[in-house]
Amino acid sequence: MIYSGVVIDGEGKRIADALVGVMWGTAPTPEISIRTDPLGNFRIDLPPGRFRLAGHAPDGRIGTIDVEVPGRMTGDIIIVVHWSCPR
Amino acid sequence: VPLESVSNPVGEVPQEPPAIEILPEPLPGNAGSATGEVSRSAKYLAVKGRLEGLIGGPPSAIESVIGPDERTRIVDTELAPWRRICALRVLSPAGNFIGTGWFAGPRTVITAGHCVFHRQMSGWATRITVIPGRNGTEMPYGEASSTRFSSLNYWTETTNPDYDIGAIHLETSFGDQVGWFSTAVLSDADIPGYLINISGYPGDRGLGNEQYFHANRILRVTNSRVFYSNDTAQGQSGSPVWIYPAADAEPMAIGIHNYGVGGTPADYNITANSATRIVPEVLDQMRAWIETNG
Repeated sequence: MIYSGVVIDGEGKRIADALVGVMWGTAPTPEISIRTDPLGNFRIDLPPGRFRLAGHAPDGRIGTIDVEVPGRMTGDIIIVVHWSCPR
Repeated sequence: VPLESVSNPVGEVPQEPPAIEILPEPLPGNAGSATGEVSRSAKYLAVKGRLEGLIGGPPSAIESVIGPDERTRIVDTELAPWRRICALRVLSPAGNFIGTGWFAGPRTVITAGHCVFHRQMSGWATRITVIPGRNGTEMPYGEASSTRFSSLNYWTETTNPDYDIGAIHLETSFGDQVGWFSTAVLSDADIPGYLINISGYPGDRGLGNEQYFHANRILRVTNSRVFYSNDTAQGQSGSPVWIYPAADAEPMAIGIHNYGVGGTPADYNITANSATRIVPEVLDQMRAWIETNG
């Protein structure tokens, strides 16, 4: 299934040009990386299984989200990025 | 206990001669006209030759970076073989993507099929920019864009990972400068022992602008795929999987990296990333692409 998603920061600001991909999963997914559009949106094709998606903002912030397909998801996949270390 | 007589066979027992597997001639590589300076990264990081036998892996885990991340950034990407590997910027009707490709001819860049055609792109890519040997903001050989791509019908019709191969046809002979990989089919008997090298442009480190490399061993081989413990990440789809048949040999591509550990069947009981294997039918198609487009 094709899902839509968005990458945002902790304040809800949408992140353009972030890179999104499957970090791990239980089913085959291509190791391609998806670039978010100017509004932080992306589309991703996921087969049935469990996946961890990772989002990498251009400034180095990172976020992840676990997704199950088919699951109870309604609406967009939302990846919230943050600094992985205190700055 | 009833006994039965058993006697030794008389005379020589005729034996079937072993089947001889005839493999196609490899596609030749090319060093390119750019500097022939030896890469220190290649000298110290690349693995050559083979170790006999497969090694077993731990029970299946689920990350493309298997254990500690052992990828190393390549900084002398203006040298061979790194300059033959390209960062890809893929534009499609349904969004933009990053991937990796590698030169197999003067104007032919090989990549994963899903970098040129995929459902999440709504079909074919519209434009792909190829950046050989990109190193951060440096583009030592510039960049070139193309709107002509090819894949295999088995990929576009079934998206079967066994046929996840694509080609980008460039208008200019970029490969004459940066060179290109030799490409070969290895037999079932020959392939398992080789040490393999993978280098590409991941999104999780360097945002697809920096080349990362890892060397390791093959864990399993099937008719159409190669499974290994080399670390990779999203964005490295399309990277060359290459060997050095001997210590003084040129690099030889034997597969196209395209899936993380989720692409390895659970009943293999290994933690492995994987590539589409170069088999005779694939090599024939690559040869045709190069003969047609250069």
